[in-house]
Amino acid sequence: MSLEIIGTGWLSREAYGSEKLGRNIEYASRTELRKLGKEDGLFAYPVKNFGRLTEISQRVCYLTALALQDAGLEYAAGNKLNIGLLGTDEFGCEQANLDYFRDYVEGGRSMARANLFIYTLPSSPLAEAAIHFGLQGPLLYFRPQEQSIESLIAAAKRMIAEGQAEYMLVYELDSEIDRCHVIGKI
Amino acid sequence: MNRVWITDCDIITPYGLGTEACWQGLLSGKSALTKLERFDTAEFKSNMAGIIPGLEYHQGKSLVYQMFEKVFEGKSVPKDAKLMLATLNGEMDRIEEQVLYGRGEPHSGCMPNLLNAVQELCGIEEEGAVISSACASSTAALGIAGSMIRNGETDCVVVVSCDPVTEFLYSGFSSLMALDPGPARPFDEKHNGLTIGEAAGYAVLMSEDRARSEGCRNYGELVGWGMSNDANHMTGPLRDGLGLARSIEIALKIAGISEKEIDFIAAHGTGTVYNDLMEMAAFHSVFSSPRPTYSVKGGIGHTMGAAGLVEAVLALKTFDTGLVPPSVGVETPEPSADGWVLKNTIELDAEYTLSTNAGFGGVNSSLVFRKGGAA
Repeated sequence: MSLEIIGTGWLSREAYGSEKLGRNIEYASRTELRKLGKEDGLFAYPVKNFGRLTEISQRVCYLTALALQDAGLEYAAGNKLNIGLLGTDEFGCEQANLDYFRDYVEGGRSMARANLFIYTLPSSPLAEAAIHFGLQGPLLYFRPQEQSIESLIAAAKRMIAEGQAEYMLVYELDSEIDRCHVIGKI
Repeated sequence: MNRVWITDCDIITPYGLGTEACWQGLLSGKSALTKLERFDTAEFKSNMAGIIPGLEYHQGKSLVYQMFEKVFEGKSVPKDAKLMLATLNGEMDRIEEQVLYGRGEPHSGCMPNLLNAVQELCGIEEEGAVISSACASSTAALGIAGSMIRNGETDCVVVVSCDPVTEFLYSGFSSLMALDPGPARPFDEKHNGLTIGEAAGYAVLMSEDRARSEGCRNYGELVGWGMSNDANHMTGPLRDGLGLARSIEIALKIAGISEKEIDFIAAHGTGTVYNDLMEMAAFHSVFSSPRPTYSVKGGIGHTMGAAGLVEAVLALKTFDTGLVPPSVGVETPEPSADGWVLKNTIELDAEYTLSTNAGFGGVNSSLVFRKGGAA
């Protein structure tokens, strides 16, 4: 038994797909990113309040659906899965931080918006996916100084080996092509 | 499998610089929470916070960098260690300055920049990483560090952690109606929200072999770590506590001990009704009988991503002193905490402790430590 990447979903500004299933579907000419899930039936069941999620949270949800499908892992509403999430990007939640604080300042520094504040954590997009897909393993943002995905994959493998989760999802975000890898036993 | 020792650690908290200052503050039963004067709180639900005296706000160096300067002054950590920075969101005051005054370069408030600055400050030469898992950030980082050493991936990791009290954070928690108008009283029947605090600290984790060869002190051994997610709600915990219980059970399994061997619990204990009840529900589901339990957040406030490291360092003091501190602010424990949560300091010859944290996004993390020097 070894721990390997058993499925990968990917998403760009123009297309999405998955590695094992060999999918490569262009969408930009016919629909917007936020409508993709509904129009292409990417989710097994609707993501609650999907339109209110930040764009990065929407992307993470798409990637999760594509990756789980690529790995042959099924999910269903109300079912919890022994799967964890590790994500990385270049600047954390910088844009969410700026959006939240600008809105608060422009509002007269009296009342902040909770629905912007909750995204001022780099782990929040992963949490949105965990809630929808019922993923109850470890969940954290892990940003290596040299931005190597290998560190995350190594951490994910350790987590599986020591029993923190049965599978781990490893996300590479904010690059030209976002990816989600499923790590599991083969 | 390598054993993982904590060979050095220190913190700065609202009680002052050093673990001993915080420890004595907790033992005194007096809270360091105070009226906040760093920014205007007139529009918020509270004006209380746990503030480190002497820090300058929006005057050049960020709050967390100033904390790190103080905590690392005169200290030396292994230069060949891996560095892990655990934080909720790093230099939030830099984001504020960018928006309020147009100061700073693009991305200057990002966590990787803080990692670079801390690396330079403590002279570590190895590559580092940022870990962020809401209010369980440093707990998760300690667990990952422990796992790396245990599996022989490295023989030394320095975990540093920090979070400041900023208008950014304060306004957000106020908008969530999460702040207690007075000082937080975790696990008390009148608990009514949290009080935000600030802290920074570090812990050096080393393989037993290297620690012995270098003659390092063993403050305690990290023997188990567990992480889980509620998969339930962005800001509210799973009320039955089963998410946190899952992380505790994983930590106990990795430690190779049963719940019966845990002598005391350094709880997350934020002071919000939802958290405190969830946490007690988790303890009731895992433990066959009550254990001495406390939260430090009535003393120093909720130090966010730094909470786990601060609480771990303080838990190790029990091994050293034979004392378990009171849960500052508790007068009458809320019913499910009765018989568990301490109102006064007790003496205890402890062998194992459990430290727990939870946070937004449903994250849970648990650590098990063994008394240092044990064979």
